[in-house]
Amino acid sequence: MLDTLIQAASQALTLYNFFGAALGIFLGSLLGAIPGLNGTMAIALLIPVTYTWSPLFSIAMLVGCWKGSVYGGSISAILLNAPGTPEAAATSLDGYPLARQGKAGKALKMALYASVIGAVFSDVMLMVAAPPIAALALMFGPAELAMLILFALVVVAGTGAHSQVKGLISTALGMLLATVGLDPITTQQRFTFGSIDLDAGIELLAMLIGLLVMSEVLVQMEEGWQEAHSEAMARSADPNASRVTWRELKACLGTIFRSSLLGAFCGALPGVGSITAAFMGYDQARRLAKNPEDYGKGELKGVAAPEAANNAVCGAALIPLVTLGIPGALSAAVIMGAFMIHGLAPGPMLMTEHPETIYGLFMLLILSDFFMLVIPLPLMKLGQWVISVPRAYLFPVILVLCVIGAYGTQQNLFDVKIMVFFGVLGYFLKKWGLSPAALLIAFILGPMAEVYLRQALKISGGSPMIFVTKPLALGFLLATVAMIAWTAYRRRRGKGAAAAH
Amino acid sequence: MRTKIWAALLCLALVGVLAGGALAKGYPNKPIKFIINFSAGGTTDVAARLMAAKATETLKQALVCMNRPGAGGTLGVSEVARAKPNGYLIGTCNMPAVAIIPLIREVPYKPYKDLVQVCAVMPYEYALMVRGDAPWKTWEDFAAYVKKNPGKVTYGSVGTGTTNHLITARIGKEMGLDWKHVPFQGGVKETAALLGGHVDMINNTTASVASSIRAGKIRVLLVTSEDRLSLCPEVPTMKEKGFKFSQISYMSIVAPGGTPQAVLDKLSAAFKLATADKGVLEACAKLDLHPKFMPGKQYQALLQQLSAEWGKLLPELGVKAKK
Repeated sequence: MLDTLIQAASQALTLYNFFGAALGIFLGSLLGAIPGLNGTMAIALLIPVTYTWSPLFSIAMLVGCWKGSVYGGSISAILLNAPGTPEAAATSLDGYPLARQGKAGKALKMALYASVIGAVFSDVMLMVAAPPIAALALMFGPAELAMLILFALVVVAGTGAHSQVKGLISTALGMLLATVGLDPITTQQRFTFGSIDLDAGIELLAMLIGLLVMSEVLVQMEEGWQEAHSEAMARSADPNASRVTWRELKACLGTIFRSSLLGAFCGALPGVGSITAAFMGYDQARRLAKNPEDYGKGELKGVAAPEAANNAVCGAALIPLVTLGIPGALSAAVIMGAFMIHGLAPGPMLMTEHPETIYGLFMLLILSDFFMLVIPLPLMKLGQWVISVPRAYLFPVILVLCVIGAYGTQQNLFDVKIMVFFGVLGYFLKKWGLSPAALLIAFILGPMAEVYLRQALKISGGSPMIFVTKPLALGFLLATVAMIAWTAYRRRRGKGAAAAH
Repeated sequence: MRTKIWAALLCLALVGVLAGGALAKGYPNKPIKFIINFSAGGTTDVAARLMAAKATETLKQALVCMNRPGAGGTLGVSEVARAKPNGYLIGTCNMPAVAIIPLIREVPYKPYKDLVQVCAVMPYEYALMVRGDAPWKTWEDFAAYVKKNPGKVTYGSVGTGTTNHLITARIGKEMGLDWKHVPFQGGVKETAALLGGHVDMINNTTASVASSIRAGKIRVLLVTSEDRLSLCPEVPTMKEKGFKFSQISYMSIVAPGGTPQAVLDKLSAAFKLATADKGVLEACAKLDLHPKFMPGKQYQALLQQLSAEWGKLLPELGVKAKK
């Protein structure tokens, strides 16, 4: 074992590989921070280039790129309310209000620390506990996943909306939009209106760029018009506004830890993904908080929670990949290609056939988490300078980037049309107090709930008893019921307290 | 003035005609767009890129790879069908996108008119598999168990209307097996469900689970492809077990219908070299992929025969066919 570790270290810990990881993080956080562009795009573009490079170098770079972009997205989410990556959608809910209060620096640093803690947590899990976690992940079949997604839907439904009814409207709209495309079970066309481009469903990234970024440009453009001049964001003179004090970090540690655990769990389950993790992280913090009414108005924990969760997905998504040959997330699937191109077939034999490569990779991953503490710092500075540019100059550039980003992922012009459509829709949603974030998460969770529910019923031959007889499924079903009851109770108590005043 | 314009237009037209004639001779004189109809990182993508790199050397023009995944491969294929038939936009193609899916739902191309098969380059290798710790050691064991427990056994596929689903359903029909089909969205989730014990058996490509097979986590019961597999040479094929059909699906190269024969020949020759190249074969073998060349005309005929066969069988297997 020690031999393997030493060999792994000598193979992995070279200047060349460090450079790969650092380059990946830099590229990822840069592209992630630019609204419209994102890390998945970068990874897809980089894959063919990595053909000729060594496996450790290229995988360290790709994973670095992924992690960097997951963090980078929060920079624009906080500064512009335009999340650079889908994972950062939840971060903008409290990050942007903080920035408006002049505490942009504080929010950015908190996001960074939470991201790094989440990432380290997840990589350590990958290194020390991969086999048992993989075994746990396998216990989740269609029935268990259906109930887990139901639970997640109840937890996150309506996030970011002005009222519960508006939250539910946003959620329903998201689930409705998700039904466009081929029926997942029968493969018949639904709401495609004869367009083959809609057969694959509405492209998530294109929709997201429209819904979250372009809509924000429209909203702020209108504000600029009304104010008759474009005003740069105020910056607080208080030095504490641009850094995180030890006390604040300590107060957030519990939230960060719970989020990391949630994120790692979502990452290890194939197909649950980092966007779900970020929202689950945010909502666990909000629901367990003593001051839930402060969330959405600039609560620091509301920045820490989603960022810890979405970064904790990365390492954990590699757990089923290296132990079972099953990637835990979309980006992990692309990274699986990088393994394969280099003749490392992912799966149970990977650890026994190439232990030095795998342990070397683990070491590189953990080390690169610490690079993440340093590399994005200049970007933060740059970002804060960018928002001091008058909005009249800034927004046209962002709009162009939106078009490039929507086109870039699949090089399909249809996606640009999707982006524009959702940009306009997002503008009206925001005007009406509906929540684009709630729509987005419902769009992601809705189809999962449908597929797993129908698969489970196929397995049971149509009997819903499958959700009660399987212990894990029953557990999540009960948790869902408890969650609804608890929410109702808190609301009543809240109303009672308000009436007493 | 008017005559001058006409003369100029005539000249332009002439140049166009001449250029068209010269096209095949000088082909290719610019990079070729190469649409891969599955997502980056999968087995199709990796094999296609390896071959494209080799074909680039032969043709002395770059094959620029672009992934256009989705809708069972039909999205990428439809893009090729829409392109100008000049050989500068070609792509990969899977069997169902041409021979099966057009029978089930509307697709914006006529599979044998808007597309022409340049050549087939790699057969996918399929098998029926169970968990390594399952009680069934052979296909006979398993079939006997299904017979004894009607309506109890479940099998997974990568989706309704895929060869994985249809071949397994056809086996069930011939043997009178009463089992339940569970369609998953892709091989990854299908494999996870098998390993977790949520379905009893799956039909999947062997290359994608090679590592699990070697580790004994997955046991292959029956090879549904035509020939035995190097990954598990001891497992018999379904032909050996007396079935009259097998799971045939190649990755092929397609061009828009109406592409000049000379262009098709050049492309076909380049891919033939790529499928025989030592470097390509070695890189593929590491992933348990085995490229094999088949001329375009022969493959096209095979596809048409498969279309006719499935057209008759789909309703019997309970798949709703397009009206």
